[in-house]
This record gives sequence, structure tokens and C-alpha cells, in this order.
Amino acid sequence: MSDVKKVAVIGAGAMGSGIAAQAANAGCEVVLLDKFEGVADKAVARMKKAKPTDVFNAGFMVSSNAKRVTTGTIDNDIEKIADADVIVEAVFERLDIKQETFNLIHKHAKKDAVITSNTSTIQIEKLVEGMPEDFKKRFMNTHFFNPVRFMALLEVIQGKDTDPAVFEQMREFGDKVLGKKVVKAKDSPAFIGNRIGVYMIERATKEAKDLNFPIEDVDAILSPAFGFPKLGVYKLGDTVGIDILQHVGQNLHDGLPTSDEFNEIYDPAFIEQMVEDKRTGRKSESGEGFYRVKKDDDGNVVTDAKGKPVKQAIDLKTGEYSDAIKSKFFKMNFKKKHGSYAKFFDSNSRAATFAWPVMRDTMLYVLNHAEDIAFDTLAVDEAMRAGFNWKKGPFQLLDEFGVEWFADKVRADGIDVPSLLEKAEKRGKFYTVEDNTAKIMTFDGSLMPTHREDGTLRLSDIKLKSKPLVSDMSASSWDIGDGVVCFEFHGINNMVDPTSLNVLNKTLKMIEDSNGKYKALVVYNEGDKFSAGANIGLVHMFNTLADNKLTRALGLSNFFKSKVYDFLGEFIFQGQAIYKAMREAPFPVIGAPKGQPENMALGGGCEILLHCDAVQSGPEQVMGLVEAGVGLIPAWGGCARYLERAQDAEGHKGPMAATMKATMAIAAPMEGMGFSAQDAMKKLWLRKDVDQVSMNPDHVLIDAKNRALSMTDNYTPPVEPVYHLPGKSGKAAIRMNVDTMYMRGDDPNKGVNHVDVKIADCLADVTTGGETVSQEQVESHVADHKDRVRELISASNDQETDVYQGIPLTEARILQLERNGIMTLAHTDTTSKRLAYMVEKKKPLREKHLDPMANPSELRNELERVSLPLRSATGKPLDGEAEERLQSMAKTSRTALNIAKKLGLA
Amino acid sequence: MNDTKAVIVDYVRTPFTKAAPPSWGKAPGKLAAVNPVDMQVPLINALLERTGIDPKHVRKVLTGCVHQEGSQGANIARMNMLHGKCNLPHSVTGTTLDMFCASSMEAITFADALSARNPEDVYIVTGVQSMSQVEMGGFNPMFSEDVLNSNPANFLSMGNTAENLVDIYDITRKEQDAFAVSSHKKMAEAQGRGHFDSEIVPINGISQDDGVRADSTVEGAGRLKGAFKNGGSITAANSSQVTDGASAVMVTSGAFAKENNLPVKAVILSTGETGLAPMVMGLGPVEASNEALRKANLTMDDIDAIEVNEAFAAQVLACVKEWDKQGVRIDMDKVNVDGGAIAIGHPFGATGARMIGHLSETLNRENKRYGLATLCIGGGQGKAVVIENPNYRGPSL
Repeated sequence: MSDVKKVAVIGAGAMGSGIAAQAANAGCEVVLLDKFEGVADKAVARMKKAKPTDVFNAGFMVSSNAKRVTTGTIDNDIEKIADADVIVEAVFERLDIKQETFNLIHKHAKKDAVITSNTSTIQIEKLVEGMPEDFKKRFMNTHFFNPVRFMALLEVIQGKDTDPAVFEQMREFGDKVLGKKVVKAKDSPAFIGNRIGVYMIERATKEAKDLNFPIEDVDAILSPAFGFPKLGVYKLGDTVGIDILQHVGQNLHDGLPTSDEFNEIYDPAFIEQMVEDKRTGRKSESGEGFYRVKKDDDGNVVTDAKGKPVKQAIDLKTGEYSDAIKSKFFKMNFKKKHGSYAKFFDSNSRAATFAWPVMRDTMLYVLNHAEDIAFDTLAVDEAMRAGFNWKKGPFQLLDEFGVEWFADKVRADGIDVPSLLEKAEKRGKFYTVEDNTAKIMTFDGSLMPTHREDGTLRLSDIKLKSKPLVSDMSASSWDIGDGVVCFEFHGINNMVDPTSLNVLNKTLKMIEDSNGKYKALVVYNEGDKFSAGANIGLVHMFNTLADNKLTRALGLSNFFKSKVYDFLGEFIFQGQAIYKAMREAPFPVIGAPKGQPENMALGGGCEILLHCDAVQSGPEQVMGLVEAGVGLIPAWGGCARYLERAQDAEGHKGPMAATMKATMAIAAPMEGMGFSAQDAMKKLWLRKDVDQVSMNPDHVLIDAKNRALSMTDNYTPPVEPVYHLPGKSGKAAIRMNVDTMYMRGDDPNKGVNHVDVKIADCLADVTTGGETVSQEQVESHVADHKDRVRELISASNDQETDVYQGIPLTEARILQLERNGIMTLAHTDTTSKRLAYMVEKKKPLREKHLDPMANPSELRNELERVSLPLRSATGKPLDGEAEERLQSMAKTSRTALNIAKKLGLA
Repeated sequence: MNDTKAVIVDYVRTPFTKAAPPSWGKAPGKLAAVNPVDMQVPLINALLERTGIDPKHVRKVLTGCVHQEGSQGANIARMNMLHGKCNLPHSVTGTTLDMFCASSMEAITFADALSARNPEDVYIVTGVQSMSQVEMGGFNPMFSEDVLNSNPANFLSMGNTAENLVDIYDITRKEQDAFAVSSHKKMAEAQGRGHFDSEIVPINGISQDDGVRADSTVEGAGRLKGAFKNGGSITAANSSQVTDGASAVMVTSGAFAKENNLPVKAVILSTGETGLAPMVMGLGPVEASNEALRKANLTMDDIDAIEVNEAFAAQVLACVKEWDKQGVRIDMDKVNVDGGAIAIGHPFGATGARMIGHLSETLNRENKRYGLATLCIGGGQGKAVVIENPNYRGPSL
């Protein structure tokens, strides 16, 4: 249904406005109507203003998408839906109100419009009762999850009168255009996701009350320890809204037979009281829910010794609040601690006494009712992963627990084993690989592929069926068909180390030497992150090995340090050379970051994308150059690529425009980063005219492959740009800006501190083109008019000429400056500290301001500028000695990474 | 000599070298990479050294510069005193002026007026322009719509104003090219004779002007097409060149010069200016000069040497023809004796001070008495200054 041009949404509450925004994100024209005046407007304004990290409100991927939304009221503007191709009803969860709305829609909608409801509780047959036949034919349920932009799940329910063709078209629209994981559900109360999710919350609450477990403990146990989101159960409740919880619970209760296990434990009194007391969580005026911020008698927030607000947690029996404790189960990895989930559940640990009954009964609920709510077992796992962000769905969890063990333990608890589980016992597990294809056992005991026939490509499928073409510890390359090769990061956090570069280098050569067998490269992986960049942990490890009490005592610190710098320097050059070779390779290279689930393409992981001919990105890809956060600057051509784009965008505005833009984007990554693919396009990380977005992350690989194939005919690699940069006077301007920001003494978490001053200066050296050109540098650093530049250098007393925008500089110049800059910083203590902190705490170190504040030019003078010997990358993959060095460094890295793994550091 | 008049006690300049704005894609000019402040500071230091005056007497630096943005922004007159190598103390103030092509001539007239009020103060006037670093027109040209609408000709390019004069005064292509060639010839000869040696301060090892084409010919010039108008006659060959350079003069009161035993190169007798229709801005020198002459109680016949800025050959010739119509005959042998902007280049901000300074050199060298420096200004203005050589020894016998 790519011919959906206009979408109308009736009801501008959280769901309706979210659906409207996502349709606008997808490029549709949107009409958003509400019963009450001004509500739709306010919703659009709220979503436009929201910060990128405010996931419940940041409905628009870029605020300019709001322009596609026309707002109004049902009473005054209903005719605006007349030309809508899809009309979504998202009004109050009451049948009479919904039917009133349907009648209105039926009156004004065009003949072939598709009409859907976002109801989460009312059965479809009830909804359409009494509506004319032609309405029933084009009607179906589309149940989105909150927040619509970020939650992948879209449950679709087909009515018995729904035209299958219409159903299929809408399914395709949800999948391709809105980018959702579309799961067909049966028309049962709360469908799949909420049915299971709310059951679990209810079950957990009962157990917590029975065992006197505080909610902090519940949240700590039902957590990433089981692949559930960090929020846990009660924080999730606060976030979603306790009124929603109550509402869904009520509807489940009403819709399900009394014999349903949910109704057996359903006890709404407490939650109903909370709603009555207006303690509905995040959305409530007081902000109170299961948790709240402590306030004193005057209503002021109470803070702890560190100035942080004190949190309080509710008692599930008394309804009273007390100061929240840090659960002793916080971040506990039960599986690792006990060796397996089974051993954990079998242990008599306190956590297990709670976790076992809750998980047992939740899994049993799934096993007993999966066929009531879904068309196959796969759909249940898909729904829980996409709708509740579970890392593993219930059937995957059962396999992890051990199907046979689980069945036995259920029996030992005196409970009947559901027939679905018995069937799984026979196979031993739900998931398996048959004929090199990943499959799951479904209701009748037969196997079905885990990859539905949807025209997409999955790397995991390919990996089951083939051996990699090239492989090393942190990366591999695969044949993904039709002559296209896929280069995959698979190290920790998909970070890049010499083994990854080794694979890429080999891959480039392999493709070029393949005589046409391979004709394109896609850079893609299905990890949590696309790539967190160069493996700074490796660097940090070498640093600490080189410089510690012992080496210092032995007087060997400098010796080892120089070895580390040598390693680092070579590693940097290798990245530059190989990324450049990739960019200039005689075949198309497409970057394909999925943007899910953890969205990061940072540092060296972003740089590789900048060197692709084109990028096919998932919509929520976060990307940027964040090296400054660890005390470094981008040095794998990131500065060069960004400068090139800034020049193209701003060049005519004078020499400072591109330089300033590049400097700010890299020196202040929190502002400069792209927080979604569309945002990345605004900020030049993706190019509007070249790069594309696949709204559905599952489509990224096939779209990237097709893009690559479309470019193979008459392919020519990109030309090296020429840089026109302002030199010294530009650097002076940047220094002035940085000094001003520093002297303001802003909160170092948001502003510039004494370490940032130094980093900005090393970066400024790169973005201004450096200060001077010497005779030795002319050949490789000056792009044109070399003779004139040589003349100027000879004439001058200092045997050098200043850089200014009229001396065209080569890419080799920028790359040399990048290397000098990063090595300068690598020698500083402050960078070592920032690296160590990031490795340890997994977040950037923000040093407090010095007291008294330092003089910024003194800070800069402290820097001992490193000037490395001139060295240019050729644009071809590494060969000969350079390649041998790479391979030996790959070997060293393998050893180091293995040690780190064993020590539990990686 | 009238002690209350301001005097020029010294004059220096950098070499004037061909500019290469990056958008032209040409090889960098010889001084293109030099920051405009770095161009002025050596000149200021040279003036201080050559005159030997105590810097504490300098009250202000006045700088002429057009398109004060990028490396020419932030009051570069003041930047001089903040430069580590400048021998002026921080107590000296700085003001940057823009009167387009007349900027440093204007700065000299300001110094003149200030000196009359403050005869104990010394003023250093500089003019600077890096047309390589800030291209003609600046980075963000923007204008008042009303000004454009009230007369589109208000924004006619300079070249097109010259084409207007070609039409009005019937100036032939040959006349223009011949004038251009003669400018180059005069400059080449002047270079050979060392006429610029005492004024040039080398920068970064560059010590020669490089705009002059000693071998230029009328035939050669004749091959170029009109640059501004279809079938026009204003070409690159008969227009001023795009140049990087800086100039500087030191202005004191006559009394100060006397008290401090400073050799005086020229006395500033009078200034004149005019505003006229932008579309014929090239005629600016005429009424501006007439006013200056009137105020100095002189006539054109009294003038021994004239510096007319050669924005375009046609524009100079048009002025000559206009004067002719007024019954004032211009002796072309007195005009730009060492060549003009067509050969030497026209770095907007630096031109005015160069013209006045070099005029004083010419008067002294040739033992002449009265000099007139004048130029036309985009936007329809003209400026002129009349100077007298106080060392004039009377007619030679």
C-alpha cells in the first residue's frame, strides 16, 4: 500500500497523536482530529518541542515532519477525511463513542478508504456490529503500542467480514511504510502483547504481596536478568500510566471467562485506589505512581547528600510510601551466578522464591493460551519482543530455561503440563535449525521457519546456510547472493579492532580480484548496536599495561608507552587507509545501519558509514562522531568526510562556515549527533540526496542490497574532494569561541571544561587545515598550484607559507592532521583518564571545573603537539609490509581480547 | 608653510600582488595567505622606525578597508595594536573606515581634521585589502530593497558604469587599451628606475609588485572580449586589477613635525568630495577635484602631478573629457607618471593612501610643487586631496 498518500486519525490522545506523527514521519499527509478544540494542536506542539530523549513525546523524527499534519475538530473538520486513504480511529475506549465515530467516518470517507481502530480491548465483531457491509469489508483493527514512533509492534486483527485484500494492503502499509513489526493476532481480549504482559504484572503483584517482596525487588528481578527492559514491572507501569493498566486489566477481566488464570488472580482494588487518588504515574499531575519523588511538608523536593531527589516506593499492601531501597538484586545476573536459569530456579535463593512462581505461571499462561491469541508460536515471541522490548520471547525463554527441565519442575509443583509443552518436550526445544534454516515448533508440533516470507533478507539466515568468505575475531564477510558481499561487525558492541580492519582489507581485495563474481559490498550487522567505534578498551588495556606502578618502578614505562603509541599510531593509519580504500574501491559500497535496538553508529562506527557510496538506514539510527567524549578526535577520516559535506553545504558562505560547522558538530557531540536518521540528514551525517531511510529496520538489508545492485552498472568511485580552509585566522576564531564558552563556567556536563579546551584545539587544527605548509608537505598536501606554493615557501624566511582558503588542500592533508591531533591527545593524562572512565563506567567522564579556573591559552600551551612523519594512504587496500603489520597487530589483538574475555573485562 | 595644516611625514606600503580569490581556482597570490593585520604591522613598525618618533605620540590608527568581514572584520585597525609584533602600545586606539575605493584617502582626511584639533597627536593611517581572503562583494552581499527599487542603476556593477561613460563620452576601445598599455609601460619603467624602492616594505620575502605586464600591447589587449556588457569595451586588460596589499602614511601637524625635526613629505592643503549618480560614478573625480582645488585656491593648471585612480581606462578618459568640456585641459604627461591601478592593482582599502603617498614621492623626486590625488567611488561618489611639496625649491633654470 505504498499508494497511501493521506492518513486521517480521529482522536488526538497519546495513541492518536503518536500514530499521526509516525504517518507524518513516513511521508504521508495527515489529518488529526479530536472532539475538543485545540487538543490536536496542543498534541502536535508537544511532540514538536520534545527533546529527542523524551521518547513518549518525541513523536516526530524531525520537527519539520509536523508540517505534514493538519489539525482540527471532529465537529468542524470531518470533511477533511474525505480524501484519506487510511482512517484510524483512536478515540476513548468506549464502544458507543467508537461506533458514533465509525458512523461519522462512514459518512465522509471515500469508498475505498481503509478504516481501522486502535482499540486495545474491544472485540472487532462488537465494534462493527450494526455497521453496513461495505464498512465491515474495509475495517480491521490496528493496535499500536505506546510510544508509537519507537515501539515496533503493530498487532493487526482481521474481522470475519474484512476483505483479505484490504487486510493484506494495510499489513503491508504498517510493515513497509510505517516500519512496524506487524503481527497478526486473534480477536481475543488484549490480543497478544498486553494479554501476556498484563498477566505477568498481575501475577508478579500477587506474588509480591504473598511473599512481602517490596516493589524495588520485583523490578530488580523482572529485569535484564531475564532479558526484560531495565524498567522492570512497576516503573514500566508508572511510565505507561496506571490508569491504562487498570483499564486493560478491567477489560481483560470482563472479556475473559472466570476460569481464565488471569481472572483467578485478578485483584484490582489497589490499582483502582491509586487511580482514584490520581496516582497514575508519570502522566499524573503529582507524578506519583508506584514510585514518587519525596517531598517535604511544604511540597519541596527532598534531596540526598549528593543533591539528587530522594525516591519513594509504594507498599503494595498498605498503599503507604517509604524511601526506596536499592534492591540487593539490582543488576544481579542470576543465570551467570548460578550457571543456568534452571539452577537458579532450583536454588533456594530468595530471588528464586519470587521469580520461579511468577515466571512459571507466566510461561504456563502463554503455553495454555497461545493458540487462543495468536496464529502461531512465532507471533507470540514477535509480539513480546516488539511490544514489550523483551530480548527473548516466551518460547525463547523456555528454551533457555530448558524445556524438559521446565516441564519436570511444573509436574513437581503438581501442575498439569500444557499439551503444547508436551509437544515441545518431545523435540527438546521450541527453536531449532533444520535444513540450515532457523525454525520454531508451532501449535500442531510441526516446524515453521522463523523468518516469514516477507521479501526481506536476514543475515542470521545466511549465516546458518553458509561459511563466511573472510573471518576474524571481530568481523566477518558473507556472500548474501547476487554477487553482493556483506561485511559484518561482530565484536563486543561491534567495536572495531585490528582484526576487523584485517577482514575489511581482505574483503576489499577479494571483491576486486573476483573477476566480477562479487560486485558490491554492504556493511551491515544484526547486533544490538551497529558499532560503538574503535575498541578503546583495547587501547586502554595496552595503556594500563604500559604505564603502571611496576613498569614505572622498573623505569620501563616510557619504553612500553612508546610501543603502545606505535601500535596506536599504526592502528589509526590502518583505519584511515582501509576506510579510504573502501570508499575508492571500484564497486559500490552501501552502509546499512539498522538503527535498532540500541541505535548506535558512533566514532569509527560512524566513520565507516561516512565512507560508503550511500547509506540505507533504519529510521532510528543514532550517529555521530563522539571521540571528544573520550578525549580524542575522529581520526579515521571522519573530520575529512564531515568537512567535505560541510563545504558542499556551506562553502559559498565564506571560509569559516564549513569549518565552524564541522568543529561544533564534532567538539560538541551531544548537539552535533543525529538522533534519528531524519535528524542525521539535517546534520549532514546522512546526505539528503544520496542516502535513504528504510522505515522498517527489517528491510534495511534487502534495501541496501538492492541499492548496491542498482549502482553496479557504470560505477565510478567518488573523487577525492579539495579542501579550502581558513588556516590560522580561522583557528583564532575557533579559539575565541571556545574560550568564551569556557570562561562562562557553564555546568561542565553541558558546557566546556578545561579538558574540552584542549580537545577543541586539536580538532581546530584539523578543521582549519593546519597552520602552515612546508616544502616537504607540498607534494602530498597541496591539491593544485604546487609550483606557486613552493615559490611562496622558498621566498619566506620561515620556509613555510600560511594556510588560507586559496591554497587547495588534499585529503591526505586532513588525514595527516587527524593523526597528529589524535596522537597529541593520546599522549595526555586527561585522555587516558577519559578513556579509562568510559571503559569502566560506560559513560563519558565530565571533569569538574578547576578551582580557580585556568587560563585557556595556558591550557593549550600545555599540549605538546605531536607531528608524525608524513604518510599518505594510497586509496588501495593495504599490501606488503603494511598488510603484514596489520595481520601481526590482528594477532596481538586477538590475544588481548581473549585475555580480556577470560578476565571478564570485555 | 602654514604650520596649522597637517602634514605627511612618511609613507610605506607592502608590495601589491595579484589576488586569487579561491572561487577563481587560480594559483594563490603571493601575499594571498597573509592575514590583513600581518600586512599592516610591518608597515606601522617601518613608519615608527624610519621617523624615529616615540610611539607614545601616536593617538590613533585609522584604517581604510572595504568588506570588513572574515579576516578583515572585528576592527582590524585596533587589531594592529593587539598584535604581538606591533611597536605601538595598547594606549593607541584604532578605527576602521569604509568609503569603498576611497577608504584610506578618507582616513587621511579624517587624520587631517583630527590633527587640526589635536596638533600634538600623531596619526597613522593604513589602508589594507586582501581580495584573496575576502572576495569583492564580501561573503553575504545584501542590500536595501528600497534602494534597489528606487533606481536599479544604484546597483550597476562598476564595469557597467564605465560602459555608460564609454557611451556618453564616445571613448573608443583603442583609446582605452592604449591608456592601459601606457599604464603598464610607465610602471615597468618606474620599477626599473627604483621609483618604488623607498616605499616598499617586503613581506614574507616578497618585495616586488607583480601586476605589471611590461610587454603588454594594444594588439594583445584588443583580443579580449568585453567583460561586463555584450559587445562592450571594458575588459580585464583595461580595468584595474584585483590585488592584495596594504599602505600606510604617518600624519602629524606641521607644528609637531617642526618640533620633532621630522622631514615633511607633503602638506595637506585641502580635500574635496562629491556625490553623483551611481550609474556614472566614474566621473566622481571631476567635481571632487574641482572642490578640492577651489578650497586650496588653485586651478588645474597649478597642479604639477595627478594621481587618478585607474578603476577603468575608460573612466579616467571620461573624466579628462568632462574636464575638457569644462574648459579644463588635463596634461596627460602629468597623470599617473609611474603607472596606475591598471598596472599596479587596486586593493580597495589600500589605494587611497598609496596614491597620496606615492604622489608626495613623485613631487619630491621631480621637484614639483602641487599634487592632486583623486578617485571615483562605487555608489556614486568622488574624493580628492590636494597636497603641496614643502621641499619645492622653485623652478629650475
